[in-house]
Amino acid sequence: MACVEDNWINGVIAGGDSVWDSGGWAVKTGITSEGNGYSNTMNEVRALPEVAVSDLLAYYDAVRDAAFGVIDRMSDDDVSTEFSRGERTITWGWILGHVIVEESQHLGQVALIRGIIRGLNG
Amino acid sequence: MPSFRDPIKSGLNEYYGKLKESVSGLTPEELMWQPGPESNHILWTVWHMARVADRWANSTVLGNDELWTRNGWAAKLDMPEDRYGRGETPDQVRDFPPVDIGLVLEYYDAAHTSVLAMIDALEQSDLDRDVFAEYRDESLNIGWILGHILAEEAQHLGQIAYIRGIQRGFNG
Repeated sequence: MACVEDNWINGVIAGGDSVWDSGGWAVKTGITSEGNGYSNTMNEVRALPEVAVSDLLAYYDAVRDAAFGVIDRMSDDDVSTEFSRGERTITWGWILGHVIVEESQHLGQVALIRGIIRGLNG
Repeated sequence: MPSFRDPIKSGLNEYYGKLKESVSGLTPEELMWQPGPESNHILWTVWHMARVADRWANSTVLGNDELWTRNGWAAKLDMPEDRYGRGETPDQVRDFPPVDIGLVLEYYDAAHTSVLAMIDALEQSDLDRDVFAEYRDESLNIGWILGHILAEEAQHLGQIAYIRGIQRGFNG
């Protein structure tokens, strides 16, 4: 989730390095695989090293700080800026809506998994 | 055109399209299967998501009656007019009536269309306005509500996809 936000907002919209790269988070977390997890196989998911959740949340906090800075600097016109992804042309406005929708889907999954483990309100 | 409309509408259409894919082809048993004794099932979740869309757009923001009552959807589904889903117990979820998913999705189509219409009716200045959400007993900012609709609905969508995946496997 954190990588997704990092790549879309700090990478695509801001056009800069991801916080993952500029902050040296591969070394800090021990996660050395390339990419952000998209289309990972089950073996790749299982092969993720044990990482402290607090380290991942620290990365996510850094991503969020940077992302909010990028969004605050966007003008109204910027939502129409286009970006090519393969054969598709998308806008920065699409990216903003998409980040909320993609991340929230994963958030719902996290809450469901927690609930299966701990029960309602666990 | 106010710059908030495109991002919000594209997010709404993105999640709603995925929702329809996520329930496509599921049997009544799969729709009501619960991964845990206190878990929601897919049918309850889809119904609740439609109720959420309807209430935010028609009642909370626009101050009208919900489509649920105004357009007779509660009656068509033979469900109570005051039923919404928020705060329901595991017993209520488990005892949810086995309503036809097609009918729930028809209601959802109407609710989704009304959410898009609501966005088109809002101007930039409306985002700073507060409305009172009676059922939550709190005043909420309309700009906050727009982001929240995406966040709340997409969380439930993720849960539906996950519950489907547990039953049918990856890409099932």
